[in-house]
Amino acid sequence: MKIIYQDHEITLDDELTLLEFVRSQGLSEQGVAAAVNEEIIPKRSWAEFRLADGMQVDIFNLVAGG
Amino acid sequence: MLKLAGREFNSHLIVGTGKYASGEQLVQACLASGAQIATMAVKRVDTEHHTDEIVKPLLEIGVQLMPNTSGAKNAREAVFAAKLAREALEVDWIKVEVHPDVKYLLPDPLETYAACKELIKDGFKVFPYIPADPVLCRRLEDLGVSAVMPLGSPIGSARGLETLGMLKIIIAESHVPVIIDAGIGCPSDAVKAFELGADACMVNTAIAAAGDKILMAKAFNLAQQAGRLAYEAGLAGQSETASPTSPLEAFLKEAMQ
Repeated sequence: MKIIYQDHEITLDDELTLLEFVRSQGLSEQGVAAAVNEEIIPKRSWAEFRLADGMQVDIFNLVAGG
Repeated sequence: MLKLAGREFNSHLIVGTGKYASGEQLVQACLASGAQIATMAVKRVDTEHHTDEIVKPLLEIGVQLMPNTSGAKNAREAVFAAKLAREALEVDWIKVEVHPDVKYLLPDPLETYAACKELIKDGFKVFPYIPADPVLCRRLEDLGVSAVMPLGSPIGSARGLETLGMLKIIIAESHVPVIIDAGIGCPSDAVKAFELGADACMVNTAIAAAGDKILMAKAFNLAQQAGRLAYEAGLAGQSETASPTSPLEAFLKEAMQ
């Protein structure tokens, strides 16, 4: 299965939920937000949200700024 | 005491977190400044470059987080950024910044207004970064913003309060707190803003790009104390002519008689 993550196409060997995918990227749920196909997915739904072929996944966090 | 969106703060300074060399340096500067509110930006996770964690250390020193929508080119993007920030931080404060022009980073008032309208409906505490326009401030106030953040001069320009005349009107007429944002280049700019009656000043580059950032943060801390005290004391009035501070009797002539 292929998804677009942060503008790059990546291949996933297994079917993953959004929560599993976030963790697989070395990120914790804290302090991040995720959007799939430009729609924000609330954290409470991550464990049930199954990624599918072709989905565009973006993960955001807070960085320094004025 | 600074009151913003139902919270009270001892410091009237808000600091931006950009341009620091490390998270540790940022935290030390923040502590030295005495600021209890700090801004930050929402961005896609950078998978290739390491960036220091800033949220956790700021929360540990008790700072209120004020995420911004910097990078948004229109209202739609600003609303998206605000919702991402709320989802990530579980904080409903948002500094709305919409500046499509990268040369001067001047805020787009129409897109900013539209974003504020939608975000207020969605329950956000909204702090818009705006041109120093008293009419726009009034319109935003009517929408229900938590404060207005008019600019002194372009972001990072260190040109101080170039919009002084308009800032005076905004401060005089506003029913919501006025936070002077952008362009404050030195502590005396902040003192001036506070003497005029500004409720808060937002400072980033002036501290983060100073030679000794910690020392400059302390200077701004003292500036906000001096400026606010002066405002609360009430400034002595100005006049075109002199007003004597010593007795003017011709004491010598009288003594010689």
